[in-house]
Amino acid sequence: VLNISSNRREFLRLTAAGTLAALAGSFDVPLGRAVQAAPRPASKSMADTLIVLWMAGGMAHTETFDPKRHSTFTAGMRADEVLCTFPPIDTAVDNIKISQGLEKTAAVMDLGTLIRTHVLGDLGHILHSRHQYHWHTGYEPPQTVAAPHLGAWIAHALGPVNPAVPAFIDVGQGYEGNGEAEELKAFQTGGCLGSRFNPFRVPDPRQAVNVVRPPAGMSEKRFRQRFQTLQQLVAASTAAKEHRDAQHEALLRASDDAYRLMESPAAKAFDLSLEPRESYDTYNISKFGLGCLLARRLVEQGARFIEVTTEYGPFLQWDTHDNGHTRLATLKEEIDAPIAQLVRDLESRKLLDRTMIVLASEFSRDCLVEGKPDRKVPDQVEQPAVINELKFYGMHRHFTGASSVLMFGGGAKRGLLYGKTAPERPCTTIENPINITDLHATMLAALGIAPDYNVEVEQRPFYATKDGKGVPRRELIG
Amino acid sequence: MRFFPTLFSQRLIGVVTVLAACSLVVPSSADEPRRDAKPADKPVDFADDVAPIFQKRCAKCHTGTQKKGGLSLNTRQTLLTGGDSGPAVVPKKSAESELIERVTSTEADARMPPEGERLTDVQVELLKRWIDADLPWEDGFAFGKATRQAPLAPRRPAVPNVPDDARLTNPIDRFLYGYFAKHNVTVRVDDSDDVFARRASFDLIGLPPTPKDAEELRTAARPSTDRLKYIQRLLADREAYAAHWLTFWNDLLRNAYHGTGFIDGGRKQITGWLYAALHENVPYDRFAHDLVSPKPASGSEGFTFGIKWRGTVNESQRREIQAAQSVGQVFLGTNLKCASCHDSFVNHWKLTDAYALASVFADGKLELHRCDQPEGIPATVGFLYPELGTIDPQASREGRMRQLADLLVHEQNGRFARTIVNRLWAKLFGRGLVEPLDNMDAEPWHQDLLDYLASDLADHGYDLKRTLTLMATSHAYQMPGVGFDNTAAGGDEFVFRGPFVKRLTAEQFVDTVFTLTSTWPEPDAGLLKSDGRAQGGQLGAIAQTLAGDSSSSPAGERRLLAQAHWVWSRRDARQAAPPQTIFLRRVWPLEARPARAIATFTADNSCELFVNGKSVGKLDNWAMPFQVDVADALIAGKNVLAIKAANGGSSPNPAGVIGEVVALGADGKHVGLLSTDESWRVSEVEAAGWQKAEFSDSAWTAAAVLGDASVDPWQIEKSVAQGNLNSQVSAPLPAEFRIRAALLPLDSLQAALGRPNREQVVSSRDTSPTMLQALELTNGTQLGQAIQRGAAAWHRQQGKTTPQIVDEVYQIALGRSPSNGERQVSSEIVGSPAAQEGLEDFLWSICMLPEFQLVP
Repeated sequence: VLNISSNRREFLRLTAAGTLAALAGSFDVPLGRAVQAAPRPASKSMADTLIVLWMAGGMAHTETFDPKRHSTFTAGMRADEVLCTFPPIDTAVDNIKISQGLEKTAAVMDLGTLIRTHVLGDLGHILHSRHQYHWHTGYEPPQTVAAPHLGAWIAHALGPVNPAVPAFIDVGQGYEGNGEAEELKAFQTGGCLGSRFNPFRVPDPRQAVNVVRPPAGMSEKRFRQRFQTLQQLVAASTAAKEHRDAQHEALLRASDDAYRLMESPAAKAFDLSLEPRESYDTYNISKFGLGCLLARRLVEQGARFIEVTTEYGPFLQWDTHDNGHTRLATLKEEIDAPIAQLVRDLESRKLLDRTMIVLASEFSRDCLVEGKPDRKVPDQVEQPAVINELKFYGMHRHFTGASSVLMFGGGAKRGLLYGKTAPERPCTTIENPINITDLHATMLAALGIAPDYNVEVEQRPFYATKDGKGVPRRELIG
Repeated sequence: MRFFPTLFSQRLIGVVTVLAACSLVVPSSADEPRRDAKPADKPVDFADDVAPIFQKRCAKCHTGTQKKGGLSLNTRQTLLTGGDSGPAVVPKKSAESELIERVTSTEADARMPPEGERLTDVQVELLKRWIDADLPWEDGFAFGKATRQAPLAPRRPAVPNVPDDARLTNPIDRFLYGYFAKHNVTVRVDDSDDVFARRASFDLIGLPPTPKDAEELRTAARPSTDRLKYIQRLLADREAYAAHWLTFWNDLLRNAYHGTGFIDGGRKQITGWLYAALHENVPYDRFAHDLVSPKPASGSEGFTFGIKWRGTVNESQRREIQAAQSVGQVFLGTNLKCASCHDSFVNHWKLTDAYALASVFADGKLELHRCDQPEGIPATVGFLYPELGTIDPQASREGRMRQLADLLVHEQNGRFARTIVNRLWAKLFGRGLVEPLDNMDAEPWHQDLLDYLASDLADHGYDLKRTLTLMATSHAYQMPGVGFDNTAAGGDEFVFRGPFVKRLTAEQFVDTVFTLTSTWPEPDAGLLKSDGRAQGGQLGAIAQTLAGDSSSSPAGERRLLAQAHWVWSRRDARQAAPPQTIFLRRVWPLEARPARAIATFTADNSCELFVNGKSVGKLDNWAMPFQVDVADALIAGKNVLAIKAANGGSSPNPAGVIGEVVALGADGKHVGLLSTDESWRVSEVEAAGWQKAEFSDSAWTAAAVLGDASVDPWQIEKSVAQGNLNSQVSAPLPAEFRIRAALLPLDSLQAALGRPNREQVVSSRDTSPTMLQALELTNGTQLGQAIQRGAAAWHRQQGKTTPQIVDEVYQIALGRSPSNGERQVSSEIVGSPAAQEGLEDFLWSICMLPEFQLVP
């Protein structure tokens, strides 16, 4: 706690590391209402940092990382014969083939694990944001307790790596004009862990620097003066002594921290214009690509959890209700080089060993099956039995039986192929299913966090994996 | 290898709960869950498999304080220690364990349990496997932990006598007199009128005191009388009071909710009703009664409606159970969330209790589900406190809800009043008499005071303003504010020393910024209307409420579409019509242009409405009729309403159009009505200019009538009555109406400052300052823009010197005058004459001051 009478101007001059610690700073109101933290995890970690690359909207497994028999488009073709609209390609690993358009990622396949049998939840009816909520919190909404985001749990359990970098950063998801914005907000939250664990949001990585810059149109000089003014007024304040309590101090600390974040060297990570041209260009293929670049720059500064999303919006990006083939060609281009470059950059900087990258999506897609083969849900996409137009050529229904997950670094096995899906429709999981609970447990285990890590909420434990029951899949890590 | 053993699950929790509450209850076979043999490859789960057996068959004699034969099953250790005849179990050796010997014994004096059925083979097998697995037990868990249950009945403790020289008239102070003496608390009334004015104003109406009010208080001749008057004046400002307490109730009732589930009409807002109830200070018993047992179309039905999600939902979150959870938490301060899934471990409620209450709201019979698995047992209707009375399971759903509401406000239900006075106490004093606020079984730090306040409320017509006045005029409330110093965070027993310093809520913060910067929002159409999914439109609902007169309220007492009929071009369209587009017209002569003309229309599947050739509205979801004021498009004389309607799909399916226009005069009286019926003309062919007045429809035919607003498959009348209406119509807001922060949609500033999205019931918000909040305040656009506009507003105030501006800003923002030092620093920043940028920097700095954000 700061001493109010100390020279705060002097204090503000300290802009070195040790700033931005606000997320780690704790302010528990003595009302018996605050959430109690569980003991720190004791188990040995393999990773310090987790990056989630989120393919928002449902990435079809057979069109990306799990290619099947390929059928080229011909008017009059039968939909039930279409499994895959792209040919397979080789990867750096002999027994792994992935889909055309992902050549650069294919070339770094030897640095990671490919899981083909991530099985998603049965929620009765497809609602993207609800499945995304499920994936990100591990709990199926609705819940009587506000379930925290995976990133919030990690921030809660481990705090920041570098106190100057927020522990939970969410990159690329805007809310403005988004038809499901409220649903997204419902899980992009610290939830019952408290507002300290809310995400530090960078809605658009192209404008990342604005998040840590003075308000638009304000000069640096004036911005500094503003804080000096605040300081002077605090110093001159005649507020009664008893009001200078822990809340008072916490408020001052919070604004100091905000100021220091903006002034700190770590803030430079947000300024993508500082990246060398060639490297910048490699990532600057898409908004998502720049998100990956931002992630890398933040990891270099010491980030704990970063999610970079392709951005969810109904019927946008991976939410391909039509034109699946043509849209996926573009989408793959948007992710391929950035993913590969992120992996390579971290590897060359010797950061990959302690940084786990996980690429996932809320479910996969199929031309015909909505839900799972044995647990179908109402169709939401019209798919003619005979395809005459290119717009019907692709995977347009929402498939939850199997989806692909990539893992690189942070203890993830190198060159491993895990799980098997059926070669013919339904291309569902036939070997080694892994659900959200166990996938989360595996990621958490890599970070040294137990699946039954919990906090007490309303006198009961609330767990980092559903009911504390996640089981890390040891074959995947270590 | 399983890395972490996961013995403990939420399911265990359920079992754990059983223990405390029902150690004296002999289990009936009816609540014995169906159990099949556990597959050999599944490990035995203590929570799932073992604890229930102990609970049902052994607990009565061997848990809690019961130790028959010296044996207690409370913990793993007591089990290992055993009783008079030695250890009860040998770990990993079931064959050598006495427990197994006893439960399988057929000898009358050795067998366990000594009475009733034998354990089943399945149960014995589970126990054996559990022993062989080394008796996995949940850390920290013990059978028979007692949970306190607060007495239910109201109590009317006499107000204690205190020495005359204490000069204490307020009953609260007289109750606390002895308490303070016992805890060595020096009682001192804060003499600062500034502090009092600010505290009371924020607590009662959520706004900073006006400089005039503060000045009057400061110059008052008789402080205590004037403080009472001040409080009464605040509470008499019905608009300000309602807007402030809307925040409190929206959090508790999950209202003004934007969010998940909206696609399926997930939530029914109650803003209009709620605002009116607060505005009129409706007695609290009636308030609760209306929420739990809503009168038809009263606007309060959303509370028990819950939030509906698309897809399958965990049984413990079905709407009926949400209703039970909400009623329990909000009105009775008890947690039914755990018991909705399994017998609770945090209190004494059982699964059957939660389902009994939920059954009140069910259309049919509910089946018990334990942890989302069906139990094959129907739930029975009941109330949590049967000593107050019962609910007739044969009664209709409405009847059951009414009986429940009656029990809730029953004169012997002291818990009902205690729960609300405790919440009010917490709002004013920063901490409840009982904490947590949602567990009224916890021990209050002053039972008599709690009981007195509760009975006082009940005995005086449940007038919440009376209770607030009582609290705010007490010396206790006027003591100096208590800070949250770090030492207070220790485990020591709480001692009341005065009201806590409270942080401004998001709404109070924003309202103060609006006040300080004279930037109250304008009532634009976006704020007034709901968004087509029946979300938003809080302000519109309030405008409607304030307009009061139901004749001017299109959704008022007149039944919508009362005379309207479904029409189409074909008589059998209600069964099926081909996918097609049809055109409808009706000439409508009017003597004068009406002040308002409320058009309400829908079509299966879509339509567009034209008035005199001008498009006035489109719709593509028949279940959500649109409503729009078309007065601007009407003229005195001949008008033409025209509708282009389309039936979608790829094969024949039901089709129809229905609608009406209600014309209202300036006085709100009905002056005309036009409804869809056979007088409309129809064509299946589009003709040039068909929607215009001058077009001749003589070649068209009369529309075919399919039935009135009640017919299948649409039942549109019922649907509209339930609020499925996309209304773009709003009553105008009264002049001078202030659009307070609580009436605005949730934005990033309010979210950062802790306004919840109301996914869950929130009874106390997280008030921790965070860096993310500070960042939002530092470079977020909302505050930035308000500051800019505010600076401009101050700048425009000609004739005010910089020191005058500084003084006024301090007065509004901090409720006090600046010191000389503050005035000097501030004036330098503002500049002389005042400069726009200087004013901005000054106003921003003021808003960032901890003193601004904290109410002493």
